[in-house]
Amino acid sequence: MPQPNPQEIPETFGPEVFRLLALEVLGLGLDDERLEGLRRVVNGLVAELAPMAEADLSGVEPETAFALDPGGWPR
Amino acid sequence: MIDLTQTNAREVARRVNAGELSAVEVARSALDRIERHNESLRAFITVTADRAIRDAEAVDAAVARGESLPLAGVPLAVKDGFWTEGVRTTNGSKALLDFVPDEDAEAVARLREAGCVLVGKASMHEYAYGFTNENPTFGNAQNPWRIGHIPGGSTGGGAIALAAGMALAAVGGDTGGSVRQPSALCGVVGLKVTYGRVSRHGGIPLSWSMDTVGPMARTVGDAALLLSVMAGPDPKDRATAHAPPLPETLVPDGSDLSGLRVGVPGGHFFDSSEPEVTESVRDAVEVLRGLGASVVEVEFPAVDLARAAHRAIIFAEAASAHEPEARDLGNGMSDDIRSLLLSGLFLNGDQYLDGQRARRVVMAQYRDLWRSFDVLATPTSPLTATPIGLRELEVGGRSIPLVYLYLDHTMPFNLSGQPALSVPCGFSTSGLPIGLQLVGRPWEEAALLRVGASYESATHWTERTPPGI
Repeated sequence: MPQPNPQEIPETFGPEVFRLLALEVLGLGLDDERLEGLRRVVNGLVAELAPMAEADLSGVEPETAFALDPGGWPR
Repeated sequence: MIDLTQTNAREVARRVNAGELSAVEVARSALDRIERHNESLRAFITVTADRAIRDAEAVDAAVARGESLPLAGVPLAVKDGFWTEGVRTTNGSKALLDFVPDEDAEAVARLREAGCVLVGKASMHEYAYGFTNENPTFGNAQNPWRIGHIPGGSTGGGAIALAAGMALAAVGGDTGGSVRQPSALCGVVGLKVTYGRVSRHGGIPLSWSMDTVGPMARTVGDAALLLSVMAGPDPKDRATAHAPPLPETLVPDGSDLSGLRVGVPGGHFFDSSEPEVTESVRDAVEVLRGLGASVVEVEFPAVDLARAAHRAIIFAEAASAHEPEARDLGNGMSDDIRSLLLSGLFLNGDQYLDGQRARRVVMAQYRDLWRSFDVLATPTSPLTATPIGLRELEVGGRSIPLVYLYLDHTMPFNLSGQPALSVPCGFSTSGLPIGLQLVGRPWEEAALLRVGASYESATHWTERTPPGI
């Protein structure tokens, strides 16, 4: 999925903070061009998650596909 | 040679089983069309010609022994993100150019067992992480109805192959719309199944908790036939463990829809639609009404929360599934896809789980909503196929990313796990196909197939073929 319109994206991660996170914390080893491309995608992604912060999720458990094996565990 | 644009899987299987037609003849017809058109359309990444003839000979031999196979001799295109024994499976990426699985994906194995003949691995958006089927390694796939326009994706190759008569069955994956959207843009039928209906074993994952494997076909009846073969529990995929069985008859005789309530939403489903798309879908709803269904106006929730939850889940799960390849800067993966995969590493566990919690909220909303109707009818895509390379579109004075326009109609039902069917419902004045999306309650694929088949029998959209092909 291509990133949303760059003009509409608030900058959660500025260039320096992002560089620190990407290179030093996550050890990604990207060059400057790729790093800036990734920063745009990450800022766009974080902006898209905003509606979750406005939703009332109190008391709601996560939906997961986890299920115990109905046949039991092997002995 | 048999013209595969003038027939369907059910008819071909009937004739092969009856000895009126050989599976080898059918395979040669499909391979001939692939040879003539694949270079321009880019429907296939790998063509399995020799193997197809060998498999077709085996089908003919089985029929000669008196066996009857439900899909005898039906040429099959498999998205290149699904394992195929002894045939490379690239996931649409240079990063997996040399990956050759030693077994078939479960859905593929079941179809081949039922008589399908694999003719090739269909082109796709790299890592299934997109909707255009533009591909820097294997070339941009083309819409057979208009060269220079996208076929949709990520299962674009399968849709092209069906529209162009290169195959009569296709296996696709749908995590945000990847079966339905290309089906709509190429004028074929695509079914996104209920999560857990068809085994995902052997499908390269994008999002474990939303991935589904579904059939694509030239008719609704064919999609039903394929589903009946592909569906069912598989110990290798625990999501299938509790799936209720499908009804014996998926598409009953007759087209009467009396007693069925069709919900029609407003909001984003029509606000962003091209006028011709809106008109075609409204006309389709009137056809359903004419077949006996009642029509209910529905106030559908805004898409923002569903989109946010879908993004949190898909980005986190895709990053987890493919982190090693995304970190390997020398493997030939395109920069766009690498950025999408790596971006999920910047989400934390709290954000991922909030996505799964918001998912519950959205599912509860939809569960309540579906009390007032049985099947929701929407445009599959608000747009007909857009030109290759386009990323944004002006709608209502605003520039909107195509990712929103294309996926906001389909993605909510991957989040909720519901089944959804795309059926051709018209053409724009410029000759591009339009799709009607029918969405049902979990496990109610049969209701969608019944409605889709009734609609199809009352119209003739699936009988058209792309000009010049």
